[in-house]
Amino acid sequence: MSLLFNTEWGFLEGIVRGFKNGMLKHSDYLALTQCDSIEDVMMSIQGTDYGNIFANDRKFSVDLIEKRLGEKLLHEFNYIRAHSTEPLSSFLEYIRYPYMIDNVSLLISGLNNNRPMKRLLEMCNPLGYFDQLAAIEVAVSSVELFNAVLIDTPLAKFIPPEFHEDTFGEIDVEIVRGLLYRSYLESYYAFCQGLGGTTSDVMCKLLSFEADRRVITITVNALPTNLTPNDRLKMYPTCGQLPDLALRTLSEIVDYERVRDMCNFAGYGDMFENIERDTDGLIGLEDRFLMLEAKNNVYSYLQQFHFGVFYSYVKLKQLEVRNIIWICECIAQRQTDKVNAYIPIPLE
Amino acid sequence: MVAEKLDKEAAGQLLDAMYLDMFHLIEEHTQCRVNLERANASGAILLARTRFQAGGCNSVSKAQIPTENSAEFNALCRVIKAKDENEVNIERHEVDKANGYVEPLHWFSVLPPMSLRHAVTKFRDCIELVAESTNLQRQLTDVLSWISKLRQSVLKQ
Repeated sequence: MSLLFNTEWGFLEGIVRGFKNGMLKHSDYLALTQCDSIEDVMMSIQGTDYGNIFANDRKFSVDLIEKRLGEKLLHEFNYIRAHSTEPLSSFLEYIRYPYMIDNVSLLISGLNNNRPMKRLLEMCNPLGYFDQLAAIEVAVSSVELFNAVLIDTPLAKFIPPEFHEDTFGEIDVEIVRGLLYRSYLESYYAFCQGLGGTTSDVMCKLLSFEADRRVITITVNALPTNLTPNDRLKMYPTCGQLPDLALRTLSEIVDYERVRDMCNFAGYGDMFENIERDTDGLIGLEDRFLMLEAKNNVYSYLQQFHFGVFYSYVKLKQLEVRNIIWICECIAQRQTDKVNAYIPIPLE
Repeated sequence: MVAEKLDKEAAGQLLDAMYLDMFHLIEEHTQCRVNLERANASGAILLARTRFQAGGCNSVSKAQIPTENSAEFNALCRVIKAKDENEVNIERHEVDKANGYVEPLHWFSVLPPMSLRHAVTKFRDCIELVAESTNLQRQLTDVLSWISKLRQSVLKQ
């Protein structure tokens, strides 16, 4: 398998491991947290593997930094994608689908508020661009929106069978997003299982963690809302380690303590413990999941000859971008006492 | 002459009391402004935290905020005159989607994360503090005006 893997994808695995080795180290983060201004942050970033990404920019802002960092990742991803063959090409397309779902949700929200399409397209994540995205604007009814958004796009295969064009307009965008994401995650899980070997071992573990994380996060966020147990259950991906009984129980829980007990039982109890670093109450449940996700993604590099390294690289790089933007926001808002609340990536 | 002297003394004591009031009001007003600044900063950093946790600036985005071309809705929070005409109060309305009183939090998500909910609490506190600051400012203006009048009348004597 290793020989067969290397003939097709060995070069790309080497490339992505090189990209991963260029990610920010602890010393780079220390340098960033000690910056006094956005300009200093940009100078520090240019001294890392990101290089001279701000060469042609004169105005300094957090949005600009985020845009340039995203373009760097997009460039690297496109390079890998352009040189890949099947089934790696399909695997890499699966990595893009969540960003497509996010872009479609953003466009629907923006169009509902009568914002111009050109401005909305600028706000979309470039990893989630696809040709039919701009066609959403021409839809004048929910039926046309349903067809334009979901039927004629790469997201068509993730539409749940119970979706109808007549009722599409009545469903909240967040619920549509949750349903699409569930379908996507289960499809990705089945695809990785079909690939077999080390890819299946590594990716199924990562995706089942993602599924459990979605279940717990949706449950906690839905507690103060009027979302029915049935609606919650529809959004829960079933490819996680939480059994069906746990999913049904979580969909009916209305109390935070019971969610905690359920997660203790399922092995996620540590997510709800307080951590010493959190002095301002900023580090919440989602942050703890991010920490565990970072650890799992770093561990995927301990094995060779599998596609999980590509998935893990994109996830770790996204986390790195979020960390840099958090540091920039703290500096821009003059709240540097909170600058260390980023999620460290245990690369070393 | 004795009466004049007594009048001046009384005016002086009144002026002292008013100056004391003025200093207390300045202190309260400054503290209110500091609290307002703190609450606003906490709200802003919590919004940044929400974007950090959800991934990217589009999770809490301008695209989700209604524009002048969006469907009309009623404000949940209004500034009204208090019983004492010189003061303002905040009137809050319950969420009632059928009658146009929408929950602004739902513009961003029907499943908002905890950080976004905390941000809402902070910005709500900001509104209360703005009203308090306004009332203190008005009281201070009144006291300064009375001090000025009293000083002029004492000088005329």
